[in-house]
Amino acid sequence: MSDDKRNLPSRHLQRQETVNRSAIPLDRFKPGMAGTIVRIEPEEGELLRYLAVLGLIPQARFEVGEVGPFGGPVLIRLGRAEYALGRDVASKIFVKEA
Amino acid sequence: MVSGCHAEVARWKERLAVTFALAGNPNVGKSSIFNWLTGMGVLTANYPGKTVAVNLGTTHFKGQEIGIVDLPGTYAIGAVSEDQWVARQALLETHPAAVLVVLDATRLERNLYLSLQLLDLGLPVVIALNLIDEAWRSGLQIDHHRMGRLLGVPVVPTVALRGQGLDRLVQAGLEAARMEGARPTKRRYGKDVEDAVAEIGDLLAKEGMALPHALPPRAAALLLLEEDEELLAWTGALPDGERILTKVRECAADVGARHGEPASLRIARERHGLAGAIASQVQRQTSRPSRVQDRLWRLTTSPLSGYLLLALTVTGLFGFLFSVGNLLSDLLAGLWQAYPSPAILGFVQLAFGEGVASRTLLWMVDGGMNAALSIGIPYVLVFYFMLSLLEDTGYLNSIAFLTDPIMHRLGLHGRAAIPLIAGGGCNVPAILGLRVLTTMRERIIAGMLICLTPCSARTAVIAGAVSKYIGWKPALSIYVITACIALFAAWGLNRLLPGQSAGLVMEMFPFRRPSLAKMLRGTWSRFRDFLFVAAPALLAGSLVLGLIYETGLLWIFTAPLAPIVEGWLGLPSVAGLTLIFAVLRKELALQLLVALAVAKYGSGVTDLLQFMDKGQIFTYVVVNTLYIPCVATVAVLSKELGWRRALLISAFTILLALAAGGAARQVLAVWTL
Repeated sequence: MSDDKRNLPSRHLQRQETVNRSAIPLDRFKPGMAGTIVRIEPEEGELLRYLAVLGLIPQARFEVGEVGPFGGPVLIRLGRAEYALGRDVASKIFVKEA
Repeated sequence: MVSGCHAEVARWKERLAVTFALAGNPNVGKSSIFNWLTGMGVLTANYPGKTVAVNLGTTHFKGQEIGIVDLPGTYAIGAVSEDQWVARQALLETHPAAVLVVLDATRLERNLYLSLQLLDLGLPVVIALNLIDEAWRSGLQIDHHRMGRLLGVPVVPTVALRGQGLDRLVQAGLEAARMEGARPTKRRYGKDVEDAVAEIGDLLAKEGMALPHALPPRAAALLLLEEDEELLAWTGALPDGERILTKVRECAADVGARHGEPASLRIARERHGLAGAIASQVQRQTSRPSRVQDRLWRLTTSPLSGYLLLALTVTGLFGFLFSVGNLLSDLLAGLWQAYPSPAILGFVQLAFGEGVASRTLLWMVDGGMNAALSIGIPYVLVFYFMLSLLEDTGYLNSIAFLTDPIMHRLGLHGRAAIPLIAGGGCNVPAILGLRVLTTMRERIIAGMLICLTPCSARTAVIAGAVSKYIGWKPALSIYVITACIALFAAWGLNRLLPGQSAGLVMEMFPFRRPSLAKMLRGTWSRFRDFLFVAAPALLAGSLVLGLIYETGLLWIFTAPLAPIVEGWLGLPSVAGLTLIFAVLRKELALQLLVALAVAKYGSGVTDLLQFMDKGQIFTYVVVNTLYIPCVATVAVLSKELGWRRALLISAFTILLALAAGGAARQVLAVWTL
């Protein structure tokens, strides 16, 4: 019974991951990991457009340089440019490891 | 709403034969080019309700005077953020003869996006390939001839810091301006996007009417597909507007269906794709870039060394500010009292006699000037110099990165850290530094936090009264109390104000070797603001207070203030009067307290403890630390946030100070110091 309970969340996560092709929010990435953007929360229209200007669009490839301590920003490298994204912004960007 | 700035820019432009706009991403050396070309006599135009300004200057080239509109540094021209909106408005309204686009040669790919967008608007573009020396140093070779051919515009390599290539840039701008009308608006994106653009463009051209800002049909069609609000509204207002908008929606849906994303995003993607393709064709990495940048990054942003370095920097900053500031302050005050002060005294007395009028005037021309000199130059100037150093080296980025999580809880983000730290030196430059924040909401929260940050003048009172007469522990406790109140107030304001914090999206710039000339220019351009806003307020305030003091009107305030000062705070009435005067300069409170005490209690009084007990001194300093910073701060606050908000913040700090003072009195009645 207790085993089942423990297994439930992971099974649930697994199913969701297959649906999203294993997309997770960017703020769960670790330094040194590389990936591609899958989608950005569509309800954030302004943010979506601002990020698009910087080249942060679905299918864009990036690399995580540093993750700020104590819930600090995520530093990502995109081409030759580097951006710091606050955790709240990063949590709206869904990515998968490349 | 826009007419204010539009009229201002139009008047300025009227007398100039040729005007260029200067565009570019943030931190690519655009200001360096503007400063190098224009020198003195720069005007600043503001759009009503907008916090980002446009700078206007002129340059002389081969006997011709050319106007230069310096747009805010942006990644694109649009309406997504305030700076983009202002850049777009200023660009379209001024109808520049040419747009000089400044590019960072080391980050070509991202920088080309803006150039392509400007070309899409049908504007005559000339590209300044700046920081080309930095690109070479990092082993990056760029074929600027090829880049020019691919884009169909002149490309001039420049090193703005040393003024290299700027003559050729202006020359190329003049040539581009002469070729007006011969600009090809070519198809550059994918077939689906271009077909949609052509279809809408043909429809607009067929209507045969003048498009807004004299845009070519292709540019207007692209903007409509990109969901540009101004163009959509303009089209909607046309007699046949609904038909055109239906067509736009159809075309956008078609592009969307074929590519699985909205047309606006598709256009952004293709523009990035094109920028990337051009960049990869013209640049070649000839040697491995050095790892120094990466190492510096890791050192300044990783948890352990990052915070250690930050603490050292802040300590050093204040150490430098206080030591150099105090030294300069004493020196200037000494010089002022030795030479100009006696001369002014003699002159005023000669002209106006020795009556009330003369003494009142002296408050302004002698006392006020002395205050402006001993605050402005030593603290504000020194602080600005340090800020330029942090900015120029790129360390500011690391500070923003490290402080973001704390700032986020207060409804701010990392970029607010610098003005807040500055507030500990002097509130005036700190509030002028609020411009790094993009939304009014963030500026209000940060502005209030700064006002509650004890500046060097308040520190002088804390040291001169509490630390001297009571001890260092109570002095330290005043800082702790103030910090708690300030953080709590910011936290509350963040919950009360509508909207939410924008979140940090910040480009991280590489570390650069600072240039003294650039730092000095940066320091001066900021100091100018202090000189023209805060200093006049300080002088006017001195005059008013001088009048109240010299005419004896001052003592009239004793009775109405009594319930608050004596009843609520439990302070002697003279103490309350000095608190009024301290709005001029906070450290004046202490000096005046002794002076007024002598006037009231006789010349035997030399020390505070003779007429105030320790609890009263503590309460007095708590109130002095918390209420309205000073006249100069309120002046810059109303310049940055508007006078209504400045008054509200001021009133709020007074209430807060009285509440804290009253509470301190009650606590100290039970728990004596």
